[in-house]
Amino acid sequence: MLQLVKTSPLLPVDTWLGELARQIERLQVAVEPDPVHRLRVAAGRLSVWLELGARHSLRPDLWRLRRSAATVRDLDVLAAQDLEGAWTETLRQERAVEAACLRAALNSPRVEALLEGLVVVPEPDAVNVRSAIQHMKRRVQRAGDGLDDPKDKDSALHRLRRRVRRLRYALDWLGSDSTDLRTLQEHLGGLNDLAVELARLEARAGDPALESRRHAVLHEIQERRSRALEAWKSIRPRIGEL
Amino acid sequence: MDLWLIRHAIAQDQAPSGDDARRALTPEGRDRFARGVRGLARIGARFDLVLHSPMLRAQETADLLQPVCTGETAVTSALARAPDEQLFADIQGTCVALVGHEPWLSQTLGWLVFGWRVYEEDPSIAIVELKKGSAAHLVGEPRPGAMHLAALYPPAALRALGRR
Repeated sequence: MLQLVKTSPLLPVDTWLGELARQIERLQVAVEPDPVHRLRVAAGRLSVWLELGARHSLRPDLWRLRRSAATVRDLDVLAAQDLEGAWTETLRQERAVEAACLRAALNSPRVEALLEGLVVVPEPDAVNVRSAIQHMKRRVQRAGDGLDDPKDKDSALHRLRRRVRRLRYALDWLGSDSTDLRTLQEHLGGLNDLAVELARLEARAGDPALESRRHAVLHEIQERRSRALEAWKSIRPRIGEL
Repeated sequence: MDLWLIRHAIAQDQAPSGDDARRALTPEGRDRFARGVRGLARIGARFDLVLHSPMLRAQETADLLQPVCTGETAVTSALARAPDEQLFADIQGTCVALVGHEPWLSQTLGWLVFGWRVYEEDPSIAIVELKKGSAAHLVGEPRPGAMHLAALYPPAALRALGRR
């Protein structure tokens, strides 16, 4: 299902603002995988909420916050795989360094100022919401059109993933059904996780212990890509109807 | 470096909630400041960093500066209180705008130009009066006593420049 039922009112911002503040608090104590992921989701959803209100300020701050947790998140996704021993240790050490950077970023006065700033932003009005949804929809369509270019398929899929996520979050703020977008996003997200893993495996290309994993990832990428493209083809006509 | 101290545009006298930090710009304030931004563009101001306070009126003023922002926008609570060293640490770049409030912006100006916090000795001393939507252009290094005031643009002057 994919349907825009209304453009106002939005879900209360407090839900995700509270979630963001809670995950920051948890991470200041310990950089565990769950709050890392939830922090990134909350920051992404709040960024879309600002976009729905045609607001630019604070979005770069949310982007920096998301980004500060990106490498730790990538490493957590990798750690969830059944990886070879020596490489696991290297990744564990890298995560410890990245986790320390994340904690330092979260303890900066900028994060406190970001939360203070978010609290005072009023709910987006319906006119801005309608216009922002149309803009996000066109961006998704353009990113999807980029898949027709065989030379640029990987970056087009990457672009599509990010834009689909933002459109899905926008529909979620409106309480609309975004199930189909979620399915597509999961395919694209899985593909991205594999691409991140492959990049790391290729950085250790001389390691024979990782060779079979590299082949398996390449195979999985082909499969995931086909599934993502199928999902996109199925949803593409309905995006235009939003 | 070039440092621009910009006071937020005209805002509501009171937010519906009564919370000062939630005071939004008025339609007139938006319109006037947007025209002032055209003046900033006309005189060649291009910011590689716009720092603003978390208060809504400063956020909204920073949004209106987007046409002359070529770099990043960032929030800092150092602009929502009397100036301190934290504020100077946040200033990174070659052309930076600080969007904030009075009396703190003119206190910042006084500290950067004269090197000491004049207002702490006598709070009645107003180094300069920054009207809402006006801009002060400082040049030098962002540390006490290391900048000079290159120009002061009242809002009407910025709008006039934008019309030319």
